[in-house]
Amino acid sequence: MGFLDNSGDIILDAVLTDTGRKRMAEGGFSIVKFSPGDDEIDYSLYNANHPSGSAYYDLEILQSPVMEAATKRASAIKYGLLSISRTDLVYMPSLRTNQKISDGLNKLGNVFHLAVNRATYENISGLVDEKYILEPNTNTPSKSLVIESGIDTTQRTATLENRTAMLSETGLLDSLYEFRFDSRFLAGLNSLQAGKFANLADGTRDISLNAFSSRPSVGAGDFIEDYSSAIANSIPNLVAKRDGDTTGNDLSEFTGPRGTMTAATLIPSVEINAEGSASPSFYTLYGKTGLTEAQLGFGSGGTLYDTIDTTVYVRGLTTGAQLQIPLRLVRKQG
Amino acid sequence: MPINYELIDATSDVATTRTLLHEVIPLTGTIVSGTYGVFPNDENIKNYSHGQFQSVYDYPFLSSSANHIFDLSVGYDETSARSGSASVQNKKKINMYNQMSQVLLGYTGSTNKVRLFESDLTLDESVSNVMREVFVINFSRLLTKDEIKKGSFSISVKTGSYFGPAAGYITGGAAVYSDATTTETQGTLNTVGGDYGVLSSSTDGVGGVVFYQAGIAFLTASAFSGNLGPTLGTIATVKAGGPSLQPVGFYSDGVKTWHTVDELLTGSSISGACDAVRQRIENISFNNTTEINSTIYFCRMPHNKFNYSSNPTYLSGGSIRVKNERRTNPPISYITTIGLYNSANELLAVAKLSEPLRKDPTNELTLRVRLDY
Repeated sequence: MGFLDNSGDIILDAVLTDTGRKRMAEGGFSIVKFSPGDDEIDYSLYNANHPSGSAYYDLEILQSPVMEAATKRASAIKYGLLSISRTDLVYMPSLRTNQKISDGLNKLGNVFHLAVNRATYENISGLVDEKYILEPNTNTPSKSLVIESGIDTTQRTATLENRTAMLSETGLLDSLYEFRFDSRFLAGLNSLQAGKFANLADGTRDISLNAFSSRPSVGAGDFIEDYSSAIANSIPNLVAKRDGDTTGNDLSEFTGPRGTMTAATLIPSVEINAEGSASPSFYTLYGKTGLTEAQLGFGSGGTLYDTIDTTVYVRGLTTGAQLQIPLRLVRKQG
Repeated sequence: MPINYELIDATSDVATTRTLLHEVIPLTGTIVSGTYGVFPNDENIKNYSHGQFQSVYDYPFLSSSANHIFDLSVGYDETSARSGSASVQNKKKINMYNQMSQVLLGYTGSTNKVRLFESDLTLDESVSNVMREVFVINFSRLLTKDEIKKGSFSISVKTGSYFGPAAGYITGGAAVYSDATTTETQGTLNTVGGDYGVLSSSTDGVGGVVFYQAGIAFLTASAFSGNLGPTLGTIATVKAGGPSLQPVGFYSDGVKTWHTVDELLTGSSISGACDAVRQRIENISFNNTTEINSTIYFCRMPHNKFNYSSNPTYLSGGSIRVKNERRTNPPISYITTIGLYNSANELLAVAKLSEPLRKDPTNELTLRVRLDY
């Protein structure tokens, strides 16, 4: 894709996407809505302290080159603009993976790890702490991917009152989360359906994450080829600053008001979850085979592993806040 | 994928338009003969084993870069004096004429006889106007697109005598036949094959006709009797009011130096006749026409929508950058893209702005997205 000529009048470069052409061929081409996007914009270029005045605050943004419209997936709007009628919002929530609570999966070597079968899980959980390895395909996981939403600031205290004022009243609580994952490697998602995520006045945890169930997935090929998406419910994130020294910071990744949370485990696909010494072809095609425990940070034993690295995308369906989760799928050989 | 969409009202936000685009198509005679290889074995000329026509490309046709420009052929009606069992490829020349005629002019009479091409706009088979022998230039759709623009076609042909490859082959005059008197609304006759106009020259009379939608030009054999050409060797089928004399040396087949047009039509194969015509083409020029049907979607963004972004750079430490920590500052977003979706949220079309457009609560934007078909 080249850049559009931005030396003269503003022009619109419009093309049909491959999906549009397909629908036209099928006789089902019907445009009923639109949405604007700003994927090329780097808002960090907004300089509200420009010495030449407000006319110059967004000068660099307005000079951003825009790429030509592409017909394939690269043209898809990744983020999109939000319609929020209030104009007085100063803060918006973002997403984080919670690695503070004992129920949460932790990164090992900057990635999360998912065992693709039971034999691998039992092997690795005997080598490293359970918090580093996700159990496959279970509704009763000891650890799970815990996703929190909240306001990432130290300027506003994480009280329940601020949660109400900054998130509830402003309509910025994500009640649903969308997980998007590579369907070649992951067959689906088990997500939290109910539970509790709070702290008590004395600072102790009041957390119960044990009602998981399988969620149906649908194709998300217009996002990334071979990707599927599944919707997970959320529960209120009521970890808050309470009486005394209780801040909740030991349980939550956010220091500002917290919104909602969800948790999920993942189901490896049948193409990669086979036990045995022979490596399934996907590991040769898309990953690595024969890695040692030392290479993976599991220890110094002689067991060999196959791995595939992938990314799971999580998005709040109210705020559009997004999170990328680097995930390593691990399979024990033999 | 976006979170928020705005509905498009099919009654007030969608409009359709039709636009005609024209491109100038100049074809020089040097492309038609002499540029690639040695005439008549030019590498951009493709002959077929069936021998019914010859294809002209803009580059050696074995290359994938070559584009088909037009096909050449020759034909005559079975009532022509050239028609006879002794004529080379007699049947194929008649077939070619009949095929063109039945597609472009249709049939007439109780016996459903194919019509004859005529050099005027009245299909009355007047003896003085019928064109029983024609050279056919069948342009590729790549060039003509939807149709040739009326009033834009001209063809310049050399009408002088042929002196053979060594001496340089054409001397004498050239005739420029055009449809300059034709306009979009007059000067044409509509037939089953579309509209056609007459190709004429103020000095050389009528040289043929051009069918605009079909993209086919016909030159009558007598088109080559230019004023400056040699004055020998007449053929019987001349147009009314045009010169009755033909250039003597129309073509050389290497055996006999001089062939008249008459001899060419009877004694040469179709491909040989095409070679002869090809080297006499000086220039062809016309404007093509592309009809573009467009749907315009008016994407209206009210003042209270799309002022915030889910772009990850929108926040800094949870704070909206463009607000600069002040509640009273307006939210601002910068639009670079418009996605058009169906009811299943599938992205059917996408439009890119050449530069970002500021959106805030003080303005409303209407972006006009045009999709061409």
